[in-house]
Amino acid sequence: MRRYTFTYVCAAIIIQIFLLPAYVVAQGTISGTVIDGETRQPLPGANVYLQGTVIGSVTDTDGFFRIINVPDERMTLVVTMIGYGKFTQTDIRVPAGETRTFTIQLQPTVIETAPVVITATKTERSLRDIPTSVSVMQAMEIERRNIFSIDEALRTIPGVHFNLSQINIRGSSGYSHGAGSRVLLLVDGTPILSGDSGEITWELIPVDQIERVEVVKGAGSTLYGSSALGGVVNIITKELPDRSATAVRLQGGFYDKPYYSQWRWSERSRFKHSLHLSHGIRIGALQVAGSLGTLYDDSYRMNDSRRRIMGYLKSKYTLSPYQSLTLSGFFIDQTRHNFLYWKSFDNALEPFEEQVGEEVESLRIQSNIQYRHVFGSESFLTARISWYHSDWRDNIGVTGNASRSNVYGSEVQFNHAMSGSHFLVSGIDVSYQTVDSDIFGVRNGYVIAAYIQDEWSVVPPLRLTGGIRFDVTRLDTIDTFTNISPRAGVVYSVLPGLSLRASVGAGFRAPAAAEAFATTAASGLIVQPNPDLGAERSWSYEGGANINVTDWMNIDAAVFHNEFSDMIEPVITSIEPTGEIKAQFKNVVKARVRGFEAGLTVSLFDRTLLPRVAYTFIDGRDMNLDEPLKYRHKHMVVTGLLARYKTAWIEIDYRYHSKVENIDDELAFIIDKPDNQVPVHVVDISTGIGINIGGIPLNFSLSAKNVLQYHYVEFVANIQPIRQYVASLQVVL
Amino acid sequence: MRTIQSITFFALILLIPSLFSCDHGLDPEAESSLPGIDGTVTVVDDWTSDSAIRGIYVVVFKSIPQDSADAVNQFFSGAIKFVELTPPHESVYSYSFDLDPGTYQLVACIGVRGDLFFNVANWVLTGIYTVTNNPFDPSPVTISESERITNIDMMASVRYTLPLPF
Repeated sequence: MRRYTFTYVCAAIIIQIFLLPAYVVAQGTISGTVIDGETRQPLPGANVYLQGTVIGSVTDTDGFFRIINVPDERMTLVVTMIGYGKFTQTDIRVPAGETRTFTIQLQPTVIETAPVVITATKTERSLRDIPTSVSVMQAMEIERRNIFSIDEALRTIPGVHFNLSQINIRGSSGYSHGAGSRVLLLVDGTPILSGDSGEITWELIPVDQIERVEVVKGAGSTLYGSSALGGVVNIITKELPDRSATAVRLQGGFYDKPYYSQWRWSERSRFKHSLHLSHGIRIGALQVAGSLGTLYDDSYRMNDSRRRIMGYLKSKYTLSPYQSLTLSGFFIDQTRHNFLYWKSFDNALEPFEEQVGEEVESLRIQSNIQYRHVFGSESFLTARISWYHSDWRDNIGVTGNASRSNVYGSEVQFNHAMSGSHFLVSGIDVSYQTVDSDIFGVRNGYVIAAYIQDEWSVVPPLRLTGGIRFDVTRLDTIDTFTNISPRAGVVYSVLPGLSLRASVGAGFRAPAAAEAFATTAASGLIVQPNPDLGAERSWSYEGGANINVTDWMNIDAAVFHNEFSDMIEPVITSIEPTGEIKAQFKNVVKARVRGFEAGLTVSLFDRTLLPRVAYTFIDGRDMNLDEPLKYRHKHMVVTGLLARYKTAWIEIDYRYHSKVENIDDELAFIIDKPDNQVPVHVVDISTGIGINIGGIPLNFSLSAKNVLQYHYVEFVANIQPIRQYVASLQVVL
Repeated sequence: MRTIQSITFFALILLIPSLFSCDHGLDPEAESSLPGIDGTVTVVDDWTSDSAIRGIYVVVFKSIPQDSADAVNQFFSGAIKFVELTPPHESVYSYSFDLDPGTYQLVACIGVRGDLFFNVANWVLTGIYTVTNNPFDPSPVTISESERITNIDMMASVRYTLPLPF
């Protein structure tokens, strides 16, 4: 009986998938072109959609769009694009089988201050309508920086800094010794943290497929659960194309020689290059886009080269105007050498001699299936299942190490616009993880969670938000623990150009398997498991204001106060008479991070010149030891200037971080001069032009990164990239 | 309005270069002006690659440890500073330490017989800093505020090692 039921369900799904296109083909079509209202030039990348449905489009390089399967009823057409005012056309009706064509003019706004974001509230809201600080980086900003990995671009976001690959948002994270991230990474809302060490692999993210990046600052566990302790980074991928399009992107560059001759360890030039091919196609109700890329990086340091192949696939099947099924996934297969610390300060670009030849091979795969059903203009249901596979092995030590982990996730989210100006977001989140590792053992765990959030527009200028999430977490033999993460916020739009915000929220991070179960011994240091390890917790308080001083100047300012407790750190538990040192990860640190952030964005001479500057002050203290928190910068400045003329542009980025005040003293045991640190001064300059040859659009750009040839470390004994030159060419066919 | 915009623009342009210095950051050639000591270590015998001693470190002790465990504990409290002499098997080394002002009871050359420096069981004493020429009589070094003491020179022997004073 059960077998018949299963067969029936499968057959029903297949029939639905293959017969629905025939059903929807009989409906109407809306097509057209989106142009700049002033220059009359076509606008590629504009989002065009029918409100209250799952159908929409994104304009191609000619500004063209086409929406098929339009139901024969009154619809509202919406067009949005960053830097332009929103276009809305109501009461559009397209009879079945007919096509209506529009030429839509978008009017440029002098300054873009309130893009639509989704991460902070799990629904699309103007940046001005959310109670927490969010920074947004658009696709064009990413492309202009000529990057190979998305973390390079994130370094220019106010309040963000990195300790090697570990991201810090407003001083939340410090350095977690390769295990556990205190910032949650999402791709289209799906968590991307490995099941064993709970880390982020930035190289996995397909840079050329990013629509925008949203960085939510402060605890975000009310909607996202574990790891959203200090913030959330959400990568939003591009919408799928309506017409066949192929793009080729070639990047190549080289590192300059180090400024100091004694650090020159290589006689030859050190190169870095990548090639990406992407293609998109639409067949009826099915839209597919994919890319394949390869990268090779010689590196400026000895034993630090890497090569990788990565791929990306996203497809969307429009089941009806109100239902869609999206499949997406990406992978990276990487081999990299292992550079841990400098051999000595006199040989700062060379590793310990015994490390030469060490390398790590890894394969990471992420896949996602999402079903979406829209019930009205703002009500919808989303069901998602995901899988993240991480597999790595190295040749470090006598036998080498290996670890394989899987995270299976599922989530059902229901957004509902209720009467009385209430908007409800609720959901159930279940995940299961497995680990099979030489170091962490064979482990498994699960998370079961439910959340609910209400946004209440009390009166038009006042919006209140309240929410709560309940998590049950089990990690192998560690006792099951529960966590309640509440949140409250208020936004008050005092004037059309002035909005005030305030919020309080809780965050937590469950320990990673790597922290709880690491069992390893190397060079007299023995790391032991800790079955009593618990979750880290945080509270974030924030108040802020966003002011349009004039129609060409915007200021955003915020004060914040974060309290952290039970933060996990490696602790030496005993020193044996033989000199062997035993260590464990323990919940030990109680910390407080407070400060303020202010940013100024200016648009001059009809958007020809776009300067910006932001300053972040962070006062982070270890409350147990009454000393500055480790690996935090007290002062951070990011500033930049973009100048544009027609299709040509030049951009200068500068970032300053004051010297880190405190590091792990124990590193002096194994590293020469670990406290050799300086303030960070990095200047990057990029320029580019878009041209059209024979109807084929070409984009060419050139970058000089760290142009001052400034030598600094982000983490001890690791000189950051020296001056490098990168050129890129992108062709869309 | 355009005047205000121009002023704003040029103020921001000027802000950028004024924010960063024109140096090149970390500098291996720079001589420290911080308090500390500088000196040389001369290895008096033939230190070959088949020697049991794999590496020599200059180690500065605030106080002489009572035993091995105390030595390791002092490391973790930051009371002991050290620098490795690289590359191994040379005959003369220069070293340099940035140190907090204060008195240091022992400046020593520690030979390490294993891979790991902080495994005290692997330590042997190859030389000390002394002004009396008595290898069993270490001379304290006192650094005052903003003082850099030079010529803290030592002789080290990888063949005739000394007993550890703890």
